[in-house]
Formats: sequence, C-alpha cells, structure tokens
Amino acid sequence: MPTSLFIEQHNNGLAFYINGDLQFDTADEAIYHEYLVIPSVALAVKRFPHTELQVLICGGGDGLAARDVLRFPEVSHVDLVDYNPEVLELGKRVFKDFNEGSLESDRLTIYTQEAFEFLSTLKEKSYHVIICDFTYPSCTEDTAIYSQEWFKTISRVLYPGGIISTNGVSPENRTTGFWCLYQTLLAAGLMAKPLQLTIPSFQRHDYGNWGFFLASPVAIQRSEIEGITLPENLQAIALKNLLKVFEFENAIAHSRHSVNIHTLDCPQLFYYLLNPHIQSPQISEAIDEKTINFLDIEEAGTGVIGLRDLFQLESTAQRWLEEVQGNEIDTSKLLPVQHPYHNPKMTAEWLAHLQKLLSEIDLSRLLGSILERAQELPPQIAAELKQLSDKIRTGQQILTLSPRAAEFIMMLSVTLLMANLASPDAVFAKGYYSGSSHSTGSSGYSGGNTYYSEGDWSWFNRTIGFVLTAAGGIWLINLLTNRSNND
Amino acid sequence: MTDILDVNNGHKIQLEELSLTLRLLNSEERHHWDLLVQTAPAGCFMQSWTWADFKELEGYKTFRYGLFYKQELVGGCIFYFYPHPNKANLLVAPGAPLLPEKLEKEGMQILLEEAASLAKKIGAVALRIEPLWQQKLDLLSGFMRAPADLLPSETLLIDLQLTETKMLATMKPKGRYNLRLSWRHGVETEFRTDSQAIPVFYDIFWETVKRQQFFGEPYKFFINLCQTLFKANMAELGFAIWQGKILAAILVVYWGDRATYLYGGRSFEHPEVMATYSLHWAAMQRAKSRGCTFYDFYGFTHDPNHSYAKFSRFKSQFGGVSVKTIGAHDYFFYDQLADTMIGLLQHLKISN
Repeated sequence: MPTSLFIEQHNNGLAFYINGDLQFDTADEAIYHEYLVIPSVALAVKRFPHTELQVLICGGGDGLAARDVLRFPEVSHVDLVDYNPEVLELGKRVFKDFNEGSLESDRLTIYTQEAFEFLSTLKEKSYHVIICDFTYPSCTEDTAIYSQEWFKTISRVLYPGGIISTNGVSPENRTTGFWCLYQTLLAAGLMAKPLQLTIPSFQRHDYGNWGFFLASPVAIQRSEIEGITLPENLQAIALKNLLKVFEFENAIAHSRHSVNIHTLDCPQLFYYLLNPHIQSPQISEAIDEKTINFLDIEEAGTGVIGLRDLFQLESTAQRWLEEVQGNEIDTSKLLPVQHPYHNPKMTAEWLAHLQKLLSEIDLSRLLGSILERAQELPPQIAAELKQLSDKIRTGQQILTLSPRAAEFIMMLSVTLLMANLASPDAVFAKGYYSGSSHSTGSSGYSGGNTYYSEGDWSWFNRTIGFVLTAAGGIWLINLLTNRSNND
Repeated sequence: MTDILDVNNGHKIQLEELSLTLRLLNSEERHHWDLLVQTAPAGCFMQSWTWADFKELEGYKTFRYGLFYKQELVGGCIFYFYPHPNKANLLVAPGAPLLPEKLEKEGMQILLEEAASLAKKIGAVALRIEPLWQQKLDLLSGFMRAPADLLPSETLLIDLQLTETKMLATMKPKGRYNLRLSWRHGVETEFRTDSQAIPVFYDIFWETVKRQQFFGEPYKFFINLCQTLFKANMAELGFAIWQGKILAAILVVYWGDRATYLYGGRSFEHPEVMATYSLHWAAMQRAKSRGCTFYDFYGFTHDPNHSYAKFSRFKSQFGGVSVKTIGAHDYFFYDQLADTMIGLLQHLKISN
C-alpha cells in the first residue's frame, strides 16, 4: 500500500503525518517520546549495571526516539529498523533539528527493512531494550507487529530481564484495543504494565489520551521504577509523574479481562480498534476502588485466542443466528464497524435500506445457482431450499416459511449488509463525524457534500424482529418472490 | 434478457469478431486514459488516474482496465475495491464505465465478464456502477437501482460559457444581491495549492461538520486527497477572506470541461458579508479561465424535505440547470453470491 507523508508547518515547529495520522507535533513530541523511551532504558540501566547496553528501535524513523535513547551514556549501540526510506530521509534532514542528529550518531545503525523480517534473522539475547514505535494500524495487515507472535519474537532476541516498551492505542477511545494489546503481551509470556498520558496535539485530533506498555519477561516492580535515575534536561518526565501514569480509572481498566488476544491466525486487534466499545460478557470483578495503579498489581493473562475472526462474514452471521435465541438485540454486535470510515450511524442508514437491498436480488436465480450445487449442502437444507425455489417458480403464495428458509433469508440479509458496510463509499457515507477533528473552532455553514439522514430505528427494530424470527420473514420472501416474478 | 445476463452462466459471445479487447492499463498509458475520460461526455474525475492513486492511499485496490478497438483506447473502467477478509464485498466503479460509441453493448459485456472474473478472485458479490448518464440504457437491463449512490445523482450545473453579465443575469435576484453585497463588503478570495493550505481548509470544514452534525471526512482524508490532486494540478482550495479572517473555504476539482465544488465550509462569524457568494463566483471565473465550461455544485435537490435542501437553496441562487443522472446500479454475480451463501449454510449451526 502506498504511503503519504505530510508535514504541517507551524510558527514554531512542525507536525508530521503518515497516511494522514499524526505522528508527532514538535510542540509536545517530548511527552510521547520521553515516556516511550526513558523508563525502559532507565530500568535497563538499573537491571544491567556496568553493562554496555544494546538497544533496538523498531519503527521510529523520525529519529526522535533514538534521540532520547542516546541520552544514556550506558547505551553503547542502537539498531534502528524502519521499512520506510522516505521517513528515514526526513529524519536525517527535515527533523534533524528536533532529533539532534540522532540518525547520524556513530552509536546508531539503521536498517531499512520490515521489522518482523529483520528480527527473524537475529540471534537470541541480542538486546537489553527493545522499543516499538510503530504507526497506528490502518488495516488488519498493519496489526501483525502487535500480535502474540511478534511479542514472542522480540522476547526471543531480548536478554532475560530486558525491557520492552511499545506504543499502544488510546485506552480512552480504543479501550478494547488497548486491553487486547495488554492481554496479548501477557499471553506472550511478558509481564506488562500499561501507562497512559495526555498529549495535547493528540487530544486536538480527538485521538483521546494515549497508551503505552512497559513489559519484560521478569516482573517490573514499583520499587524498581521508584529507583530509576532519569537523565538530565528532560522536558516531560519527572519521577513523581512517572509513577502516576500507571494509574487507570476502574471504569476503563475493568474491561481488560473481557477481550481476546491478537494472533496472526486469529487477528482481533483491528476489529477492536474499529469497534472499541464492543465487549464480550464481562468477567465479574469486585470493584472497590475508583482507580487501579498497575505498578501495585501483578496479573496473569486472562485473554484467550478468539474462536472467531470477528471480521469474517461467518462470525457475523453466526451472531445473527444466536440473536434469535436472545431477547435483546445489540445492533453493534450484529453489524460491527467494518471500515475506518464506517460509523454505527451508517449501519442504521443501511439497515433502513435492507428492504431495497433485498429487492435487488433475483431469488429464483440465486436459489437456482445454489441448488446446482445442492450436493454441497446438508440434505435437509437443500430439500427446503428446493421447496422454496419450486414455490417461487410456480408462483405459489408463500404463507409460511420453514425455519431453515427463514434463516437463509437472514443469511442473505447479513451478506448484503456486510457487503455494503465493507465499502461505505457512498454519497451519504463518505466519512464520519466523531473522532477526527484537526483543531477546534466555532461553527458554520457548509455547501459541502456530506449527507446523512437519521436511520429509522423503529423501522429497524421491526425489521430485525421479522428477520430474526423464523416465522416472520414472510414479507421478505414475498418481496423477493414478487421481484423474481416481475423479471 | 440480454447477453450481459449470461455472464454468470459462463456464456461467451464471439468478441473476437468485434476486435474489442480489454486489458489492464500500465502507468505509461495514464495520459491516454485521462484524455479519454476528460473528453468523454460522461467522463468523471473519479475515473481519473489521479483519483485512483488517491483511493489507493485510502487503502483501496484499483483495477484500471482499458477497452481497445484495433489497438486504440476507446473505453474502459477503473474498478475500486476495499479489501476485507470476508466474502461479502462490492466492486465499485463511480462515474463508470466508459463505453465506445456504437460498441456500447459489447464493451459492457467485456467489462462485466472481467468484473465477474475479478469478483471471483477477490470475493465480491456485486458490481456497483454509476455512469453519469441521464437515461438508463438497455445494456444495463441486468442492473438494479442501488439503494445508495456513489455520486450525487442530481446536481446543479452553471454554464461558464456565458459572459459575466449573462451569468449575473441568470442568477436569482437574491443571489445577485448577496454577491454584490459581498463585493461591497470587500470580501477577498484566494486560491491555493500548497500543502499548508490543507489545515487551513480543514479547520473551517470541521467547524462546519460539527455545527451541521453531518458526516465529515477526517483530516487524513483531506491530506491524502489534496496532496494527490494538487500534484496533478487537478484541484485547488479556495478561501474567502474578510478583514484578514477566513470566513469560507471550498475544494474545487478540475476535470475536463467541468469544475466540481466537492467540499466546503463556512465560519459562523460574519454571515452578513456573504463570503460564500464571492467565493463561488471567484471559483467560477477561475474555472472559466482554466477552460472549464461547467461549474458543478455536486449535489442538488428540489425536494424541500431532502437532507440537502438547505444547501440546494443556497446553490440555486447562482442560477444554473439541475441535471439528474441514473444513479448507482448493482449487478449481482449470482455464482459468487451462491458460493458465499453455500459457505454460510455449510458452516453455520442453523436449525435442525
């Protein structure tokens, strides 16, 4: 996939975007980079006294993380691997004043390569610290470097007792995604400590607060953090503040036990990033305190590998079938957000179009195509679809619909809706309202062309009722039959 | 039913007899393709090579097909596809296809066959097209009207071939009055194609989105869009400035004989200076000087209950002619849809 780079000039600096996502703003990048880098290296200095530290930075081609690593005289060498030569070039040239020429340091070696590929070639126990400074994932493929397999790979090249620091996502805006990363680290055999920060430029973009993880194969103790020595001339970190960033409101933290882990075979992270508030049933937990400081607790992982890839049509269709048994319909689970520009409001819009979507289908023809391959179906299903096909073909009125036929119509509905939601590139659905402002301002008028009318939720509820109830759906079948007969 | 509907049954017409061939275009052919799309009566900027580049930045896969008649590029289609790990997806072609004169049916047949083959490979159950035609041709008999459009199917076109005096004369009296009021207030306009104009535009756009509570694309969308289109000299950002403050901003796309007002926003402050009137008027004059013959307001309705009725009332102040196109149409690949349905029926725990 091509990459777009954008530098926005300010009066006193610049902001850098990759594929439109803010990477840093020089006004406050120190907050991000110091918290990403300083605690991990300072901890390694404490854990490996009198040792020449080897550090790996994955991503970070802008050179800003490298600048902060190089603050430590104990670091004898840094390897930096970034796949994007254009970002590295900017790091050497345009960002040089900000990264203090870190990319030209004789203590640093640059590798222009995919990080996963690079690490697979390394021998065990190569680094005391590994820092992951990756861009925010914009598709499922981008999430490989957040998988259990990835964290196991970096554990392999880490010294026992070594430290990993990785950027996360917003615990506030992407809650389930954040805890998915936490559980994935734990499942990879790492003892992980989450931390969160407010970064003003990120807040201005409605990214929410920002999360990181400090992790190690050996548990990280509060006393160790309290005992680290910080370099001089830091802009953002003071020891007192550092101890506070591990504290989370229970309202955010309690959902950490209800997420799956993220693996290459069953990727979950991107689903959580697009659907941050969809959770599995909660594991009950006594909550006495309003906040929880992760420096004070030691947790084992509770996340498991998902049973379903939640983006798959089958997973969604299975949910629809299961909802038949339930009393309450959770539309966000029935039709999860599928695309970065897809919004739950658009789901409502498409649900209001369900009748029209179904009326596009020549059911007789579809059943014909399916029945040509009837041997691939369970016999009972094939028989009932055959009956349905015969009735439509002979123009018989359909007064009742067998449960399987009704479920077939339901599956067809899901398929059509999912197809449209996966590609929400329509006039009314080109973007979304929340979570993406550039800066604040007043209000005004637009002659622009982003349109949206509220979906008819009462219609939706009635429709869902019909679709999900096996005995209902007759109106659908009649709709489809009429369409077929009129052709 | 036409031959087109036989695509799913694997029927092949003797295309060799027609000497019409289809193949993927290579990057050296971009100028030929763009020229074809620019000069076609229903050519649309969303079928330009540059727009396809922009959509790739947005994560889409593009399939850029040219139709050739005796080695000459005569038509084609850029298909867009957003990769998704399931077998329910769409292949979309806004402002397409472009079909060769007198070989429309055959061209459509070949493109549909290719689309069907593509759909099988990538897992799409239907093709959604939206040619900018004002009548549905028989060759689309296998297509059904889609519930949502890819482009506004009704728009308002301002004729830029008129003299300024005549353009003013065709405006509504209130529009003309507001425009002159804007001039009297001394509203200035500025058009920019430097990347630093993007945040300036977005700030005012986002203010508008928040106020109007409509869907607004994120900042990253405009970074990708503007950077790509600016490089190809295909778009400009226009600003209305009064007493040093930007009161309105628009994004105009230039393609062929048409300048299209794609996005815009207006500050809530100083509505009395009618900044948007000066801005659109200046954009029209600018489009005219670039050789465009139409200014497309990109979305219009006469329906007072429509969600863009309010915007349409503003646009109508400039006069112009409303034009309706046939809207988006879907063609289902039944074999592919059947395959998806069979997969579901095989693997789900449906009723016993």
